[in-house]
Amino acid sequence: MTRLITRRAAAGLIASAALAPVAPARAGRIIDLKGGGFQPINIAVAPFVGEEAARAITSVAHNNFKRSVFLRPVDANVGEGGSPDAPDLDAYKTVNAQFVLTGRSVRAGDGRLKTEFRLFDVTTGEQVAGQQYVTEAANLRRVAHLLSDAVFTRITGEKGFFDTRIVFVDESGPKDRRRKRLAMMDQDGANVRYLTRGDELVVTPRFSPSSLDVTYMAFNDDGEPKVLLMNIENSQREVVGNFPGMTFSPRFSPDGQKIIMSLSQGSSTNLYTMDLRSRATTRLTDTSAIDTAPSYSPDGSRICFESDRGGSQQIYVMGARGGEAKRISFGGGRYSTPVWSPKGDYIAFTKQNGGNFAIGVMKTDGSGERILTEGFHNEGPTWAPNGLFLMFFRESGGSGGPKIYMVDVFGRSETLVPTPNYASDPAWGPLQD
Amino acid sequence: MRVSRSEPGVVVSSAAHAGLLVVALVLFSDARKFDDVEEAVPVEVVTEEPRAQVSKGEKAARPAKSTPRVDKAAKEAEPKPHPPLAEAKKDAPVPPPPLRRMSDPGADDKPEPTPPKRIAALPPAPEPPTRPVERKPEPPKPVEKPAEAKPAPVPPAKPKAATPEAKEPDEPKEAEIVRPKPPVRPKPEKEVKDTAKPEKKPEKAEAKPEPKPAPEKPRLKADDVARLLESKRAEEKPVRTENGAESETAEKSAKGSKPKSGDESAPKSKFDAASIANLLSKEAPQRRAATGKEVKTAALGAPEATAPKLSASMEARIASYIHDHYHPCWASALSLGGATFAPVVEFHLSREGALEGRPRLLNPSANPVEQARGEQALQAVRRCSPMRIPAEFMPYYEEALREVTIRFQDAN
Repeated sequence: MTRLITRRAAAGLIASAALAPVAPARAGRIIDLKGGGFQPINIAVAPFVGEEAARAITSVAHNNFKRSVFLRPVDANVGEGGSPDAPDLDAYKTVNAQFVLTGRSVRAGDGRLKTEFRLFDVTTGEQVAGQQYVTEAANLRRVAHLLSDAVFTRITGEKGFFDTRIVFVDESGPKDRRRKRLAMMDQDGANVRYLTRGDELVVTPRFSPSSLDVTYMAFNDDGEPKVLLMNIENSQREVVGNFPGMTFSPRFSPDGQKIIMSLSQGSSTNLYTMDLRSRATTRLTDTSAIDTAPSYSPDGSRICFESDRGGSQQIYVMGARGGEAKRISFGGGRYSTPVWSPKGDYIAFTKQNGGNFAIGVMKTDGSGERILTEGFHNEGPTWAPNGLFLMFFRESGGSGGPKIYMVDVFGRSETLVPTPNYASDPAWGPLQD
Repeated sequence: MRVSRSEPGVVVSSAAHAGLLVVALVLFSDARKFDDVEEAVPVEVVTEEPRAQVSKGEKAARPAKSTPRVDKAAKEAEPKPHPPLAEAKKDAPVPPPPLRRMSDPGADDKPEPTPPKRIAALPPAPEPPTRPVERKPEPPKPVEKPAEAKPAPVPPAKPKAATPEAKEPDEPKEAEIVRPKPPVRPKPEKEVKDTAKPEKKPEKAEAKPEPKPAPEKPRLKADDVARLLESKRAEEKPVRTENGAESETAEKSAKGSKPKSGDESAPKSKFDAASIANLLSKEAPQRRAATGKEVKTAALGAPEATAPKLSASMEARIASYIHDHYHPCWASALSLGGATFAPVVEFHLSREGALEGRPRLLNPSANPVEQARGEQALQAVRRCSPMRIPAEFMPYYEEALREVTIRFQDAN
């Protein structure tokens, strides 16, 4: 017994000795904090130093952020005592600015415009981004868009969308004799340029991934629609193949090498692709239903389209080479114009339920449906290249005409896109660089 | 006891004991010093002091805990220059010049301007980073004053020796800041310091007479100290003489006013219990009416030193308070990609609730959207700082408030 006690005691001592070096226990408690509601990030856009070009750049950038939903410009006049290199960040705290954007734009010796910006984090007092640009003076809006994209990306981690263009259908004249022209503008409504004269009816323009070509549908005098391809730099255009029957809803593949469209033959409408190099065509669906409005996934492996094969217009997903199609929309109403997000995570659509037209998004398996806006007549969503915004057109009814609107993917904010006349069928192009 | 191979118990036991002692010695020698050393000193110097008098003596000088605060503030004030951005790798492509259009269906003849060319990334400007230093005047200022006062009295002994006298004139300010600490604290600290640093003894001794008349309130506790000193004197004399011969305690005895001969009057410049007692006893004798319990409470230091272990309910209350304080600065994710990432941020608070140092992201990500989300979490901590710490939470500062970790989650 004595031996046992002794051994046990020894073992206990050894064990306690082994345990002795244990570090003093610390709480290690993690407090879980769930976020509140959505709040845009406050950014103060200090007036750029310089002459007229500086003022214009400041104004464009300020307006960009104002429309961005995720950033909110705050009063920048509080920091007048500072300089672009060393702004008075303490002053900006009084307006709850989280970031401060400063810059200058001056003429270089060769007459070109040299623009630089700096972005400061108010809470740390440190510069977190900066860049210089040189361009012709006539290009100052693009500089403003480029630096806006750089700032947006630095703050949110997401790609920007400011340096992009929109192709749309400009509508003018009385409603019964509407003149429709293909037009192009910057995403903020500036630099409007007409691509067609208005002699023929044009609809559903779509940008190619290269941003140099646009495909659209036009009705000539004989009333037959054709799919056309136009180079936006030189306005050269061509008819995409000759098919018996009518072709609709053309769209580019992500690699820009193919166009997918719907071809109506008799009572059915099926999906076809055409290789732009070889002009070879491939039939993807073969049903007696109406399959139309196809859209590629960003990796080009799948397509979504609208079909009434189930009895009503619904959204289906299928392999890019054809095969079995799976229905993904099941809500009440009719679904049309599906468009796959450039991020690949969502499909936008138009949904009609009774007399109500809504623009919404759903996940690619059909779950998580969310309506972003609804009204009398909303239609034709198109994605921004960063997958965070959509443009669509809304018909107000009456003797008026449609206008283009922009909304974020959460439906938090809706903004009118200024156009010189009525406008419809927007197509959002990629980032220009 | 018989030692045999068949019964190695004794050997094992002895070895284990020895090992334990060695481990303990090593550990304790490496043990991290607590911030409130003076409070942590187990002042068995329990004397009787009325709690009211203890509370009166709030103006007593507090030892320079300010020093670590200054350092922390200094660290905090060191902004790192932001690394220059990578230069643009490519120039904007020059579009083809406007061609003669073969068919011009009404298109506008606007020539396409040359796209802007990115030429360089802008490194941070040299000057701005100094600003954060200026931004933190509040916490360090009161702290810096003692530091500034230090050189005046005894420049060579700035770090330690000057602290007593440097503390004295500034103690009221310190006391205002660190109100909960009772005034008796400096005395034990002086004891400890004296025993720890023999070379500083002469200066300390010289300095001591000067500050002593100034604060009356510390002497309230000093009465208790005096009593203990007197009681211990008798015990320590033989011990000191013994220790004086040992090399390890030689320094201690030398500076600790330990008369090697046991002579109480010998260490004039050292911590002489008798001289202290004599001085102290001149002051308020009536204060001896305090009970031992109260003094014990006071002697053990600030309320937080006497605070019981942090209970689960108090921990939850503190966590809830922190949650509610920082919640307004944390918004839901800007994009779907950020909604799934929950940044975890660790940061430190001073006793005044000010942010000490930089908040740190514990789970950084390479994904740019998640990086931005992490930055938003760090910003949320900065923007919502400082956080006022209610008095009821102060006892638990060390356990629950000095270091805070928050996991910021999306609302959805």
